[in-house]
Amino acid sequence: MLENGRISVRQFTVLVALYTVGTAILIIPSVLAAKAMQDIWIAGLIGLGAGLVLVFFYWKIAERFQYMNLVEILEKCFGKWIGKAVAFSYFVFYLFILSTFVLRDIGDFMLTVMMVETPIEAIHIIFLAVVLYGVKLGLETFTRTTELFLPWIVILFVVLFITLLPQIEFTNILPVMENGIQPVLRSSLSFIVFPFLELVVFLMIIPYVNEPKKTKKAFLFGTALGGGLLILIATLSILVIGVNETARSIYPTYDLSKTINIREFFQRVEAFMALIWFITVFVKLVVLTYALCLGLASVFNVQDYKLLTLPIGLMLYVVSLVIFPSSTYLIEFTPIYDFYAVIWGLMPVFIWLVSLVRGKPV
Amino acid sequence: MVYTIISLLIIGSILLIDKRKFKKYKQSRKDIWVYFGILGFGSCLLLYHSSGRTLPTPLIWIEASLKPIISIF
Amino acid sequence: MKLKKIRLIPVIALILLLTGCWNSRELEDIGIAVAMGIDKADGQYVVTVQLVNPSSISARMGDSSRAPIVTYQEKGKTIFEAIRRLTKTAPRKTFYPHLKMLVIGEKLAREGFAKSLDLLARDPEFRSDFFVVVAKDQRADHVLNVLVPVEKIAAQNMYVKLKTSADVFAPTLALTFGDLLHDLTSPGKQPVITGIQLTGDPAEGEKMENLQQVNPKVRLKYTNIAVFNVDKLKGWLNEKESKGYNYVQNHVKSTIVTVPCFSNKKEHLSVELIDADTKLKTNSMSSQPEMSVSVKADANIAEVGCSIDLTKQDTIEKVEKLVEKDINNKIRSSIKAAQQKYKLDFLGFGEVVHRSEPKYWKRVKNNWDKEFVTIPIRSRVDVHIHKLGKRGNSYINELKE
Repeated sequence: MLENGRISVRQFTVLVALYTVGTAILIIPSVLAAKAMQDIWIAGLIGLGAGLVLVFFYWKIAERFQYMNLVEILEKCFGKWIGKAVAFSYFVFYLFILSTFVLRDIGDFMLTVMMVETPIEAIHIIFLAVVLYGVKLGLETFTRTTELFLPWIVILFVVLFITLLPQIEFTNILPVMENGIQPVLRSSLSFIVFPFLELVVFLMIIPYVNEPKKTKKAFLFGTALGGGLLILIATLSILVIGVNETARSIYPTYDLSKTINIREFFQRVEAFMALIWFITVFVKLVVLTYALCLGLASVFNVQDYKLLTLPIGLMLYVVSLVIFPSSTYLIEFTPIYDFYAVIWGLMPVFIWLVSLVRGKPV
Repeated sequence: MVYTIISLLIIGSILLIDKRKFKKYKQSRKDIWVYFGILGFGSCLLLYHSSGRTLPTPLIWIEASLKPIISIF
Repeated sequence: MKLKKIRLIPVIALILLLTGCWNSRELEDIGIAVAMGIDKADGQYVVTVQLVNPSSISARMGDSSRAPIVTYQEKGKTIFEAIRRLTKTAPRKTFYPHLKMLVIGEKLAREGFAKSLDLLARDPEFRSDFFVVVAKDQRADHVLNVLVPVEKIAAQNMYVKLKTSADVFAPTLALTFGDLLHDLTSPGKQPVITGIQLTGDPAEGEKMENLQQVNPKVRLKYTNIAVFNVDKLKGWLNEKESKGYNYVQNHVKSTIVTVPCFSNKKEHLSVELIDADTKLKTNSMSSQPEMSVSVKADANIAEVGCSIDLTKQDTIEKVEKLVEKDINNKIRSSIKAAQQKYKLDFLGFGEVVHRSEPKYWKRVKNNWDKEFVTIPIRSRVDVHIHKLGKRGNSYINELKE
């Protein structure tokens, strides 16, 4: 057994919820507003619905294979060697790339709005050091940390929401469905890809929940909670800063928290609000890195995944520095990435369908 | 130059942190091989990058292989 | 125990080393910019920055012989170039998150200012909550060079003044940069910006003597609202039209309305509006285009200058009618200015149409201003007077003949 720690169903829920919020909280309003305009909330709800269906399928896979982890599932399906090869490419070409995106997102964010002159390497090293330390301490430890962070996030969210209430203009969400349903559907597609498809990584964690049979409700509930928060934030930024500014801004959530101003007294709290996404991005990256180490360790039959933490961290560090040559490249690459992520995210579902049709006993 | 030294320091500190682990894994050579495989590859990339040359982003391969498929839609 | 203490050393060292001082800026090293002015001369932007002079505003060792503010000016092909060129003249690096005011010179406003403002939206150092005003008949630097009493920092003075006057008098408009960006890009509303004016000789205003008088010779005064076609200044509204504009926009929180008494047309009475709520509506635009403004306001009697019997419901109703007529006149005059004088929809009816009739809007949105002038606009005002202050009838009623 690679992992001896066990987490409770409740901890699993928290982990799923914060992972879903993850980096999406920074950019999702702008991504959604680009096409759906003021119908952001409709697109969000459709995306969340589809995301829940997807999560349900992910859980079905875990159930059918008796709560094995993803590598074991793939080995079971394709036989030992092909399974290992598929799992290897899954981790290297999807989860690894995804982790570098997440790391780069927080680096770019810090560089763009908070510490313009700081070298990105410094931010990456410091952030990664915390994450790798968390991974080295193991699943149980970082899950408990996440649980400890949860009240902070809830408090900050409530503060953000209440302090923005006076600035809400409900007319901003009118007219409903100005350009028909098509742009709404298209932007809900990007919402499914990011962040719901990325929840596939929890196939690596479900086996280590103390009662895996009860994870279904937890998985769905955590996703709904995280997705709900994202929709709330996206709608709030439409209501407060308007459609055009939301779509034009790169980090609308940050702009949103910049507008907080209660009687010229409670203002300029955006750096404090940034705590929300430091925590959620930390959770997302720690889960991804953990899955990456665990997955590669089981592909190579390494006894202890913790041995691989630092080398993988080093790779993450280097690749995250070179992954986007420029901000424009990122914007241009996004549609291609959506397609790419769909292939990988749907692959487990495909495997599940194949194994259903073949009816092979497991 | 400074950056190369920092990179060497990073690699060195990784080895230092994991030093205790190597003894534990003396029996299973394979694990050490995997470890140094990834670390070696990562170090090469880091040193190449820190010498001032730009590494190509791995995304260009994804882009090259997927663009023709996407353009169909 | 000893061992534990030793272990603490690297922890403390890490706290000191890792707290990120790359972007640290000591207070002594930065010049806090509180206002910025933009003009255009010889095809280049002229940027004026007003900095706080920290030694003269500090409460404890304030040196009142020095001016509390200093301004620096540079030219550049872009705003950013000009700002960076400022480092040649300004003693410290300028720091912008505390910017309060942006003043646009009238000449630049007439030529179109929109293309000069991208830096302010893009650079993370600028927030979007500062106010934007146009210097009427002036260059922006003249406005920024004036020393003002009460609030030592001129920009703070301008900021508070604009906020207060927009709150309680209402011919001005506290327009933030974020709102301006919205108006510049929304096809359903043309931007308007409040003007600021200098009374007296600009050269006099720069001297400390201006501060040492009870009645300073040179003052800054907000005037009315300027109308823009996208980013080009087309003209100025008068006070009546400006007030009308604010009624239509639902910007009026509190203001006064003075109407002639019905007993004697030469005498007046004032009521204070304490709350006004405006709704813009549209009919079905494709069949019978028509738009309407309706205002509901609550008011108190503030000052009576003639003898009327306020204890009679009848009188109050008459006063209400007069106030309604007065407000309605203002609204009509602003609609007239929009539809006939400037032929620009600065009242934002386009946005209302956009929300309520998206299909019709799609057809007309590209030449909305042309469509707008042909659409009849109805207006309705409903005023309710609640309180009389701390008197019933005025003593004026019982003055000895």
